[in-house]
Amino acid sequence: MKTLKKYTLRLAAAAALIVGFSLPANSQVSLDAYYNVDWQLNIPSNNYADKVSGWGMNFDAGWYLTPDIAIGTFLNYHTNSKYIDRAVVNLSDETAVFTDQQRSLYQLPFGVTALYRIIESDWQPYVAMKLGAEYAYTSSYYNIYKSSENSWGFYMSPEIGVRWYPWANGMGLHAAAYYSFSTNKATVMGSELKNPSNFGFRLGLAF
Amino acid sequence: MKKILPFIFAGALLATACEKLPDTDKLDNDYLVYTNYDDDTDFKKFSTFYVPDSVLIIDNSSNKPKYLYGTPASDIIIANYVSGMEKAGFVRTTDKESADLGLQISYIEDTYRFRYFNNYPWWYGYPWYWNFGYWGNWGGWYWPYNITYSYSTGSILGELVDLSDTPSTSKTLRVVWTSYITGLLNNNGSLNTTYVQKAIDQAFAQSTYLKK
Repeated sequence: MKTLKKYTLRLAAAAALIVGFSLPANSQVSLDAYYNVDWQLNIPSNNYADKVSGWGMNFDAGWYLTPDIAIGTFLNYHTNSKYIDRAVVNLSDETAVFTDQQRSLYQLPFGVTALYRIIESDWQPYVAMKLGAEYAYTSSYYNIYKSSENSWGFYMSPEIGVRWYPWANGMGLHAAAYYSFSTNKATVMGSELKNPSNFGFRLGLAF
Repeated sequence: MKKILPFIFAGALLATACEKLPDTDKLDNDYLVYTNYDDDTDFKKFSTFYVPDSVLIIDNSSNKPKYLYGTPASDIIIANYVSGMEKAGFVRTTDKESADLGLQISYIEDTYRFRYFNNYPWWYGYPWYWNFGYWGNWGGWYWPYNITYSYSTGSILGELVDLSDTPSTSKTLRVVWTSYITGLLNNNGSLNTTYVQKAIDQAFAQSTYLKK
């Protein structure tokens, strides 16, 4: 699965590059729209799984209502983990388990974006607010077992970033920094995930 | 380009949008110890316990129960449970009829027969499981707590039953403490006796309510 994923990723990246560099000269694909595909580094702030990781991607597409203001849609996902050393975990008043565990938190928010483009040129800095829903899969791996819980919550994420179109072929680069907050709640192996928040940045391709 | 972009997005998304599994190689692969108890039971009221001299083997045998008796493994398992009970303040007795508690120990060698039972632990369906009649004239088993954990081979199950009441076929035999220990096998499939000792000690260490 890992190998398949690795090669599919490479194939998708190569396809994007080929398509991008074979386009006719333009500062970007459409002056009325924006698209980006990003890798992201996520710094979670929660007590469940807070190890920094780069296991995530972000996808954006938006349309300019005016030269400055756009609405769009987004989807991103990220996995963070945390190793918990061997300890007694109280699962209930009556039940206890002694083990080590590898916790995992998979977050997948999606929704709508409101974006303000500060400058309209090859450099396009912007501020944005993302609102939507977050699906989270909270799990713990221990010994040969796994415990998990699904949850849904409200999601909001302010973001600042820039799209840069240095080439005359329609493709550019995208960088952004974000904060996010969601109202997801879950309890796995006696530990609670509550209202996870994140800081992070994204690097990717803009079209 | 605008026509192609949705396909690039969709392709990248489909290719990558799944949970990255955490690095389970970091897990120490040592034993795991579960314990449950009946929080309506006051363990201070018990003084003595009786333990059979054999360990029941739970496997896929079809015609009769099998036991570990007089082997190094069974001796270590029984000795460590007895030691844990004695450290907790209980006195071992050889008179089953007068004992306040009974300690039955099983070794799960095979999980072929196990399946899920509502409101019962998974070992309830094993045909050669400990018979409540062994402990007196009882009417059946009763576990006053939920047992939800899964089973695996190379595990040890230790259960304390409450013998302080007068047996009757109209009464069920109450299981007041369960310890389930797994992850005890070496790479060659043999029982790791060091883990057995440590894990049984841990079962008592995390059951602080289990005191005379």
